[in-house]
Amino acid sequence: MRLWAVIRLRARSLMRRDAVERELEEELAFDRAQRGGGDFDGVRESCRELRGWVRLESLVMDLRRAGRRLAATPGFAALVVVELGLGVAAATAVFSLFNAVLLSPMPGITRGHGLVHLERSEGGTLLGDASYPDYLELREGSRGYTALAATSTFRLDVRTGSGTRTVGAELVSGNYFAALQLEAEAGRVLGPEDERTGFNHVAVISDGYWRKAMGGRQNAMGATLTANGTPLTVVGVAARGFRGASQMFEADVWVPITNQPQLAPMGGPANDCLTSRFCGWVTIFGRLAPGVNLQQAQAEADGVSARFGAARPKLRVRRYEVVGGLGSWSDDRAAEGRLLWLLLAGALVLAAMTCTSLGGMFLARMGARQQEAATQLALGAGRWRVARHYLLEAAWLGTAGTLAGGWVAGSLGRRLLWLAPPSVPHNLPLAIDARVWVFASGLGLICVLALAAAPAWLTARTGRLRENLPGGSSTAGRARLKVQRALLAGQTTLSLLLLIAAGLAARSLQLATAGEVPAAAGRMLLARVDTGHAGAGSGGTTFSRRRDAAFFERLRNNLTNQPGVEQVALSSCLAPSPCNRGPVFVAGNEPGEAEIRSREFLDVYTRPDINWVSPEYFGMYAVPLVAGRDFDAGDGAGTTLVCIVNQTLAARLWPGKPAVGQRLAWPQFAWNGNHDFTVVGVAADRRSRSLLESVAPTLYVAAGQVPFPAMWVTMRTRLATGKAASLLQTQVARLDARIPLENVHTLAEQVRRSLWQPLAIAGLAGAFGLAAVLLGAIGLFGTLAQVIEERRRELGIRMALGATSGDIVRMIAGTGLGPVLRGLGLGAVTAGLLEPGLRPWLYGVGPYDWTVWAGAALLLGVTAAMAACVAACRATQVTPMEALRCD
Amino acid sequence: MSRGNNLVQGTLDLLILKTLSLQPLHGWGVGQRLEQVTGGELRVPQGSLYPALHRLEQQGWVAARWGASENGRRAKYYAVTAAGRNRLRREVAEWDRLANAIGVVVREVR
Repeated sequence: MRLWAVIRLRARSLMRRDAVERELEEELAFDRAQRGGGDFDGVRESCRELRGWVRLESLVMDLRRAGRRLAATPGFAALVVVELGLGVAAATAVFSLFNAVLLSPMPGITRGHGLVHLERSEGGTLLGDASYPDYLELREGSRGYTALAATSTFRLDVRTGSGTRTVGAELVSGNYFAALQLEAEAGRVLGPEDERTGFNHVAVISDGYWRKAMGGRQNAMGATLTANGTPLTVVGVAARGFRGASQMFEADVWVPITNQPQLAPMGGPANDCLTSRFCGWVTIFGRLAPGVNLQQAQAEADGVSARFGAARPKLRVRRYEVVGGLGSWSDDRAAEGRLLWLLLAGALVLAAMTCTSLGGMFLARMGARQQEAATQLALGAGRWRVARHYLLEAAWLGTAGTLAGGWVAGSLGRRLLWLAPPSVPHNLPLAIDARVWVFASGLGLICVLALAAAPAWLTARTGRLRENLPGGSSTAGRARLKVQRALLAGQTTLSLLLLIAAGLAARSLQLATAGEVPAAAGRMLLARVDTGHAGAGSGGTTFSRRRDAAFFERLRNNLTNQPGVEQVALSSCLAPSPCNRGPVFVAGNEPGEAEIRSREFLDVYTRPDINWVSPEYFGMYAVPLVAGRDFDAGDGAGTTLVCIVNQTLAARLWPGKPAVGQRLAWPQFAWNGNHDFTVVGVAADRRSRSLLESVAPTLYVAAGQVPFPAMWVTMRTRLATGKAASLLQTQVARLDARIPLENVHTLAEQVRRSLWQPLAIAGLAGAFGLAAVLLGAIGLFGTLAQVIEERRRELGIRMALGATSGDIVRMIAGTGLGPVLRGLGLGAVTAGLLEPGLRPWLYGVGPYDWTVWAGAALLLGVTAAMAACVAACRATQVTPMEALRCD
Repeated sequence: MSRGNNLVQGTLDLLILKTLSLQPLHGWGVGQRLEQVTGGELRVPQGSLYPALHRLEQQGWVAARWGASENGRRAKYYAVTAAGRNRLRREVAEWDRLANAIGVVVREVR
């Protein structure tokens, strides 16, 4: 009560100043009338002071004055706001990405607290997905969750009026929506009863899909969605904005997990992954029950694993790690975290560099204001009162800069995602939320303090009248010059760091792509053609392996005969990108199925990438054969199984021996049938998995001999990309209209996608580095201009005594370039210390790449020299007479 | 020399609170009442009285409201708040302790 009264009173005396003042007058007038006169001036003053006005009034006055003074130098103010805004915007944009990926729950999920992942691991290696029976056992055996759910992402080909559309979808357990605590936007969400087989042909669609594809109609509930050949009844719309439980996948349809055999057949004899423990396909996540922590959940999961391990001694032990968070595997999140920390560090270095550069400009401004400060001190102003002016000016500029920066950061954060591969969905809540604003304003505040700190401190420390008088050789002036030089050196150091980082990233990209990418990459169109879903469930005309082979062969022939098409190749994997892998052996040495399966992921076997390719593949991708022959038309169905290995695989299996003619066993191809392949050729090594990793062992098999249902078509054309894409679409549709075309893009794009992390680093670091060079040059020029202004009289005298223009230029440029050189030296040392931290992202760059360092230093040095020379040339325009007259 | 200076330092708040605890008064009334009660021994100058009243108001010990005075003019009346009464009890206790202590010293000397 009392506190409230006090607050109300104080607020009133601040806000309603006039009313309070009037009341005081009236009260005193009453007293005067009673008393019959008297002097009340002192009373009035004492009462006012009580209300704390005096201090506040002077603050408001100073704030107004600071604003007026800035308005008098609009160029300076605008420059500072823009520079500060850019620094804040860059850091805030990166932080908003950081916030979206690492700190916020995914879109649509309002309650992120308590969500955990259960990740399968074996021998310390993260394996990720679990089998459905394993999930059911965990669900039955766990008490520590409000719900333990399962999900698996896949693609659905939804039949529309005009054709087929591929959408992202999730197969989910009945308690999926309960675990996420999500309600339906319309209709209902899936519940446990939907997980029963026979009652499961239902689907929940996303809010976006409902609005876009179904017009947001209420009668969409109960509509039928024909997906992958199976009719599904739409029962509800998920909460607004929700796109599934994975950060890297945007789902539009959710169906009960028990639909897997019809909707997402996994191939192989044991098609039913609902009962097989060998299918690892579900992601387990849950929400911890109130009061249960990660350790308790882990202990419980271990207990469940141990119990079931004991009950089934023949199966390998499964261990599940309970990891906090949702959306991506913990190792992915760790990798993303490292990258984002790196970017954030770069952005913060830029912000620091901005503050340093602005600090220098503020100091220069202080120099120009010596006389004013001296006058104020002479009239009796306190040092802190004078020093406060700088803080208040900085506060104005800082507020404006932070607001501008935060505003720009909103759109910039979205733009940052352009650096990521365009095809990868980003299920991220990219918004400038409260946390981002706190970051931006915190950064702005630090910048403001950094800006004003030096001038304010110098004024307060040496705030004596004599030393601030113009012309006198003052300690204040000397101290200021010292700080100015230090700031110049500091900004050069930070610029050099950013430039070296940018240079190293660019060099890494150059080395990663050298010799690995065909010259015609921009004209090579890629598209994924998947026959797997077509026809499934519609009259039993499921594509067989034979028909797959025939389909792809006809497609290839038809495409090759089109005008403008130069060459067409097929492959199951897309280089550079990850590929199917499986254990292979020297024929005759392979262990039995049970043993291989139990040790498959322990890295005890050679597990090469396995790529189904057509004969044209090696030519088109410029992979030379170093021994033996290419596949040819003779390698068809019914002939001896043949394969081509790359040099790494050949050396692994038959060290020191020629590989051609050897026999290789690939047991997974047919566990109990013939799985021996004769090596007919050895291909040169290519970094096919990723351009940033070392060469992986690779096995190539003939697509015509061993068909595969989903192939990448690579088409080298003379046509424009859009035309080529529609040509491909037409040709696929002519063969089978039900087969969708996915992921159409060029090889050049594929290379960019594969390199997006280093590209993002190089792009951002490059932008930051160039910004730093520019800001540095502006800062140097501004500081020198100020130095010339201050030393105008001295320059005039020197010129009157016969100094040449050359002397003057040398003198001024020397003043500026000394600190720059010191900054370069310091920057080189710092970069040397920090460089090892960058190495994980640098492919092929040797430690301490001197060309990059020298280039960065040269670029900085030359721009600094240019800025210094331009400033110095202005100095030579000082005429002696004018200079001497100007005081 | 004004007799108001006889005021023992730091006791003005106590005196005002005590006076107002009997009935709400305007500023001039407080001064009058004090002078009356002490037989003219204590006269509080307005230069001390009004800042003290305002300070007590700012601290929430007294609350002010406008009302009509005896002669019909609008006047600002001060009244002790609940928190102010607690405060007054503490101040009175403190004063008793101090007065006793001083009394002991003074009698000793005599």
